[in-house]
Amino acid sequence: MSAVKRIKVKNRLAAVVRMPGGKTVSEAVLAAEEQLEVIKDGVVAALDTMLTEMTAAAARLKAAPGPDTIEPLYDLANDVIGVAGVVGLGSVGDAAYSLCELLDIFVETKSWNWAAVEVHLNGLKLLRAMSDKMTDEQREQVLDGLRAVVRRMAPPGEGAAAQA
Amino acid sequence: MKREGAPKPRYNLENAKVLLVHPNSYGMDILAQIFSGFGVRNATRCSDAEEAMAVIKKQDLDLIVCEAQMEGMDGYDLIHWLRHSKLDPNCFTAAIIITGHTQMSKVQKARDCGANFIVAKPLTPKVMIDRVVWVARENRPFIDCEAYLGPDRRFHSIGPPPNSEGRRAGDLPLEVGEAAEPNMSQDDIDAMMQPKRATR
Repeated sequence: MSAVKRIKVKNRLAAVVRMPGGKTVSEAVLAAEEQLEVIKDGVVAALDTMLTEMTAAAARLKAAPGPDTIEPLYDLANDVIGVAGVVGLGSVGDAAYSLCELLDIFVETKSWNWAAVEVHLNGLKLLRAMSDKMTDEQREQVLDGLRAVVRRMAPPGEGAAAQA
Repeated sequence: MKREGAPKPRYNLENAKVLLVHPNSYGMDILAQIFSGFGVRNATRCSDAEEAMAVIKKQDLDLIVCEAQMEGMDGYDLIHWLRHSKLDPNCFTAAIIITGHTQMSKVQKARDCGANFIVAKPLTPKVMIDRVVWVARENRPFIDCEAYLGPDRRFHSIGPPPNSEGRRAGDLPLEVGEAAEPNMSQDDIDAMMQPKRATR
């Protein structure tokens, strides 16, 4: 058993937020959403640039698969997760998350499958291009397909965990 | 029980000194806009861990929000460094890490870095304010042991995980032993519970 020291800590943030004034949670959320609306067009443009860069990164990965070419594509997909949901394109973010899961499996298991990557790229393009034309059910069908691909690539016993 | 019609609590972040760390301009914009909406006026922005470390060394902070994925020193390393820095009071400052996908190789690092919270993207104002409020309300002690330095991760007070004996010296055994003393009588218990008038 490890020796544990418990340290009582003064919560500085607690002292600050208790000062008079401020906002309720719902007021703060509303104000933050209005602030995000201001930058929405720029974020959407950044997302589209990322998707274009992903196509180029994927081409490099196809030509020379390995950790050095997987990483740039993984980083771009991770960036997409961060922005897509903020501008109402959550399904694009979910597809990017699935691609990250897939690429992480390739790194961990030292395996490789171009078709699995390609289907993710196509899924991302479809979800982005048809974002306002697809129903929630149709989006979920595309995402289910991508998740099934990841489960097939996962090492035995980790299929369920890969998409938990 | 919540009283009907009771005013909703207000949280004043106007004077909170917040450090935002994000390597990408659009990611930083999203963070900055969200915290601006919350009313934060004193937000310092850094694009990497080195820049953040310089700020942490010279300025007292109330909250740190940092991206997990960064070139070189990542967000987990930054918070691990912060907790071990002995830079009082900043080493105890509330820290929230935001992450998109976490690689399998980094799950343990994320668990052990000492952050108060790890928040999954996409960031929404609702999720973020809930976490900030949670952090502002908590009074978790810090745990300092060989493998970990940071807020107590056992904040539900449910003891060690099932079917384990526990790793801490203070963990009680799962089996309750025989009573060492006679049971208290009901009168003794009532006497302990009886409300008494406060005297000046």
